[in-house]
Amino acid sequence: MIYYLSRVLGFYGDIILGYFVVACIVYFIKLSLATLAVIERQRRRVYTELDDIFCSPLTPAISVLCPAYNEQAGIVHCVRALCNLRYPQYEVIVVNDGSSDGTLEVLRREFALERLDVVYRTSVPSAPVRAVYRSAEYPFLTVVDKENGGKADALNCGINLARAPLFCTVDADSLLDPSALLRGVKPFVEQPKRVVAAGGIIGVANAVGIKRGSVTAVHLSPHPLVTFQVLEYLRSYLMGGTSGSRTNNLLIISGAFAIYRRDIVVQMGGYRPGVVGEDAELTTHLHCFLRARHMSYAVVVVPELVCWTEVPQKLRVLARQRRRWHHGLAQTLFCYRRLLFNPRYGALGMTGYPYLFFIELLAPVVESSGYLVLLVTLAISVVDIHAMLLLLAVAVGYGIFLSVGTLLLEELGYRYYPRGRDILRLGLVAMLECVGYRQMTVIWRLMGLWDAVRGTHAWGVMERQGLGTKAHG
Amino acid sequence: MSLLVATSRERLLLDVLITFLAALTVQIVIVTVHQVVQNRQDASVVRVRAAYVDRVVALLAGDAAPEARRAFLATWPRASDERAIIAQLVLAMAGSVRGSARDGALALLREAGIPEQYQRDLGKRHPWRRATAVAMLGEMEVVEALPDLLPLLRDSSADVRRVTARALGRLGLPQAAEPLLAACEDDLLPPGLAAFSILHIGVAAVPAVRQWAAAAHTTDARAMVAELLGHFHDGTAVPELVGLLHDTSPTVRAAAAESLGRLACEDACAPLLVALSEDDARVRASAAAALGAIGDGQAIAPLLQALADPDDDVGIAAAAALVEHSTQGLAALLGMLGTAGSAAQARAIEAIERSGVASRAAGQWRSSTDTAERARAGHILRSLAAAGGQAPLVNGGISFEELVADVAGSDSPTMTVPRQPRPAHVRADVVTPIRRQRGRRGAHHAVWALPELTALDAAGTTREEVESKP
Repeated sequence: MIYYLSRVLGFYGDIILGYFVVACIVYFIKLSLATLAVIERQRRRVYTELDDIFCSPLTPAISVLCPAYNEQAGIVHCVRALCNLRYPQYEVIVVNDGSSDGTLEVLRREFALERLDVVYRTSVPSAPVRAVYRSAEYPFLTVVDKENGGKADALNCGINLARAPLFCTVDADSLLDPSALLRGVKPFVEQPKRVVAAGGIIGVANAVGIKRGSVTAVHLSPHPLVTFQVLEYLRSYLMGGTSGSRTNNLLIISGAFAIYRRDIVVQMGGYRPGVVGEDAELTTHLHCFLRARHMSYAVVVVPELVCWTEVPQKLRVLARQRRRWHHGLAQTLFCYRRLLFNPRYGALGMTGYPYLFFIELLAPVVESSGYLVLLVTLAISVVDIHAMLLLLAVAVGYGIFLSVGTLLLEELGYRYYPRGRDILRLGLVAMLECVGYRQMTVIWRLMGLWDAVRGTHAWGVMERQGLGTKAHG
Repeated sequence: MSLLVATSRERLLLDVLITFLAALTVQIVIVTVHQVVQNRQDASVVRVRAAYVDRVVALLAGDAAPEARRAFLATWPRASDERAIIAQLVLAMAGSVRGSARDGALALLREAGIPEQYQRDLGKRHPWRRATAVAMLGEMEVVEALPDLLPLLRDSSADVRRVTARALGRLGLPQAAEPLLAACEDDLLPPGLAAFSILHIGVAAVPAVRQWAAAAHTTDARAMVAELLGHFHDGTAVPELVGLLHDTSPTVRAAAAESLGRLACEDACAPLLVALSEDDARVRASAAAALGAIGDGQAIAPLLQALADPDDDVGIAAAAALVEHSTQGLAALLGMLGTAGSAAQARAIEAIERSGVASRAAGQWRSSTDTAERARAGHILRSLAAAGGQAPLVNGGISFEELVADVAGSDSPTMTVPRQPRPAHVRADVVTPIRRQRGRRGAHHAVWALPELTALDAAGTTREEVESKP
């Protein structure tokens, strides 16, 4: 009995090992691509193009869309920052998605809002609009009050009111850099007929110095949970984004900062309502839509920090966020499962989608089952403890290698965290990540996956991380 | 069989682990060394700049007179990295001054031999050295460097090509336009970047661009040329743009129509009317908008027809064009409000609301003391009300029906209007609503200007006309 069990476990162990090796190779390729990009960029001359973009008549106007649901605490800071962006022509549309707190009242008081009559044309479907307001203080600021319908629905409502050829989505709990639009619009200016969507790098705003709505000094938060997340953000953006946009197989652009061409999104029917990860869904949909029409297009990430977001400092909130993210990922990947190894979708179908599916989506399943096998084999003691520990050490060592590799990229190419002690602390965190934090994220992601499998319908309501107190100010 | 007990695997794993540890050590060493070196470099840049910044400011304050320059040059440092830092400092400060101070600063750099130094760098092996040299030459406006810069538009490094394009724009020499367009055509340069630089060169580049309108093979290049020609405000480009109206690509045709609207030349009216009935909706919409900007009388009837276009965007563009066109255009639009089909009505109302005509009429009705003006405003409001709320208006702050009830009932033309609070710091560089009037219930009527800068101007003037003519 035990013999057969050990045979089965051994076989399964081989599968996990194979998966591990493949994942290692994939990550190594990504790291190498990102390193090449950084080396290329390292001595790059930063030519002051932002001023040129600001002055040019070729720069398109942008509508900034900011959906808000129960954001009473932080909304004023966020909107104030949005009203002080450096950009020649833009408008800000804040969509109050039927908040149950005083979001609208706070906005009305702070920005001297007044009701106005407008023609509301439903280019894309959205929940009924209650009222439209315009600020007397900032005439380019519009606030829409609508029935609750979720984040995707709120964004659709914003698209209906947007008048500019491009629109930019912004999370109500994040802070845009004053020159974010100028940076983000660069690809659209350079290749006006080709670029359809652009994202940027998102930084962690906890404990950075903020003065009058813009970040002045970048420090690492002393909070340990935040430090883990800083490392994760660095890893995903420095490694994922820069290597993804080279081959045009970027499937996910974070909704915290993304610029899209309005006409194409309207043709697509806007955001799909009732989806958890509406940003990933839209980008994937965009790829499919344009590929099906044989259009030559580009989805890019601007390798510059454009947006600061506040990450959860409480374990419970973080758990909920991660669970929702993985749920959204699973949902989107399931919706577009036809992409998997489909040569008609080019690099996207052959590498981009399979990567997300096998490495990102299934990783928690494989990893948790690996831990389970480990425990069982230890329990029935058919295992050579030395080999087991060695395998574990290799896995942990590789994780550390990748994280420190990210830090290397950070240090060589970007230097967002210029202080030596911050780098040192990030390095220490990279060592500790594999003990505890990683396992927790595995559990959260499994829960998210479970939500997706069960088809939880909690996504009708926009779930935000409800950080009660904001450190802005 | 099982991986858990195989000793050869154990050894392999150990080897792998050791490799990882070695790689890790290398990474850590690189990070540490880089951190130290970079911090030291940053500190030295700060030190050198701090030592010289006061002197550079004093020099520029005195317009960088020749004798002051000589004195400054006498203490110019020997070390090449320090020289580069100071050159960049002078250049950065020259960017924020105008006139003789700027000329003096650039002369100082020339006298220090900086341009020659960078011109030598143009042939360096590392792309970043070439890119830096090109960028500096562009910023110093070294026009003599043009022959050396042009070949770099076909450099092997994309970075160098881009920086070269920008530098050529700064030099502002029309000879650069043709090579820029050629590089764009050969897919060596993103079209937007080439367009940027050519716009920077200015009207002198128009002949080259016009020539290229017929010669360009790629769609992107032609679309870029079509868009560019509208931005120079040079009417000589109209024949080329009319030619591009017959292009095979709808993107190019739409861009050409848009540019013809920017140039607002009446000769373009006939070909645009043909474009108004073509297959592609984008081209029809652009043609309608252009016809509105030109404001020729023969466009009114076709634009009224285009109101019922199967495509929503075309219909709204036609309605907006009629509003922008002239007083007659607006009158024609108002005249058909009661008779047209519901789609056309809704589009007309949307265009009138967006353009601010409706809200201005409402405001005039309430506050104006001029009887003719009030009569005109009343006519607009009555026509809108006759359309019977076809457009999906939200808010109901003041619907048009209610306004007309006001028109009928109210006999107090000098109703007090609360003063509009002055915006605390409205920024001129941001698009602001063209007109804002405060309604009786505190409703705020406003429109957001059209995205195009030039369209904004044109619309503003025609609207003034609407007001001044009864």
